Amino acid sequence: MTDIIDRLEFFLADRGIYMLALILFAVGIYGMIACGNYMKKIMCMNIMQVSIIFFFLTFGQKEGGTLPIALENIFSAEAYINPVPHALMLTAIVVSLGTTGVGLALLMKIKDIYGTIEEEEITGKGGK
Amino acid sequence: MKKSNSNKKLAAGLIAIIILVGASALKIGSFLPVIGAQDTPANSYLSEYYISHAVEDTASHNIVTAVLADYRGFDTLFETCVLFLSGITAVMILSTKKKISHDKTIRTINDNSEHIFSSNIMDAAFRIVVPIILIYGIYVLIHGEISLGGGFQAGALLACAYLLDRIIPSFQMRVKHITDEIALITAGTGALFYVITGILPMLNGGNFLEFNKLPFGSGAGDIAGLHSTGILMIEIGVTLCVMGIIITILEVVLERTDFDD
Repeated sequence: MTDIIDRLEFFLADRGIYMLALILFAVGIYGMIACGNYMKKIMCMNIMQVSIIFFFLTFGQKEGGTLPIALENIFSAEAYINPVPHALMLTAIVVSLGTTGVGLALLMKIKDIYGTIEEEEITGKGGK
Repeated sequence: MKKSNSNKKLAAGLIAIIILVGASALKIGSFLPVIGAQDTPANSYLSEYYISHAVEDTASHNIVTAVLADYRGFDTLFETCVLFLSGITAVMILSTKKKISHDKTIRTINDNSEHIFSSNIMDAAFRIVVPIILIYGIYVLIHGEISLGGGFQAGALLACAYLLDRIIPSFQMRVKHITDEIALITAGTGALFYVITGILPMLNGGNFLEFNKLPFGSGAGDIAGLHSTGILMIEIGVTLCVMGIIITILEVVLERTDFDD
């Protein structure tokens, strides 16, 4: 029994955080498929994007590293965490903002034409 | 009744598929690096070069900004353009929908719920926060290459200040209402400013976005000054674009929303 607990603790300390990213991703995908409301679909898409960003940021971590702001006279790579995932994910966050904005605009258009944003009612009506 | 039954079946199937995919991903995922290890592939080659050469190459102490605005400046330019395009798309999709007038919007907000943040005291407190956020946004913008900061964050902060001022109903004087057209023009100006920053070195015989050849500063040897100027100009462009697009998306949705629904 203690063996299992030890291995579990080892796993959680080593790669446990990937589990969290995976769970977030699964929640997002499940919601995007199963939710009938388009607003909820957009929110689930955001959750999925956050999980991807989270996954990338975990790659940048280093034990004993500090923020990627260069201090005086310390130029060794061990002293700082990896700046590349941060730079990439900064732009990913901005793009997720753009997709959410366009999604909201489309949602208002759908509400105008069909009078609802529930998927069941829209497919039941079958157009205008 | 039958419909909800089939929905439950669908949900069960989906959960089963997701668990299967997750389990296989975990099985395969044992090759993923241990969190915090120093010698993983992601932490080895490129990142080492950036960390050890960023200050010398770009005179930017914030390595993330050095990567974003200097080494990968071309990438960030198109990132800004993608954001600008998303704003244009949102405006185009909703351009045929009729605007609801500003005064009526405020009145309907007041009719539906008296206070946005649940009480009068909270509303007043959030209005006090607005100027502080503005000052902090400017600070973040001009500290882009010195310490923590950057254009994207500064744009989000400035837009957040405007957003708070916009959605909290008030009978006093407020910041002048910005229409979505003006916000979109602001964003376009930001993107244009970025491109002009890229073209300026070309007038002096350099490449696109080569800050060493910017036509001002104290001579060609002044790498630190020229790179700081170039990065700051890029940050200003990005800030304008992000701020404009966030305000555009907010306004284009808010101006056309009927709160009676």
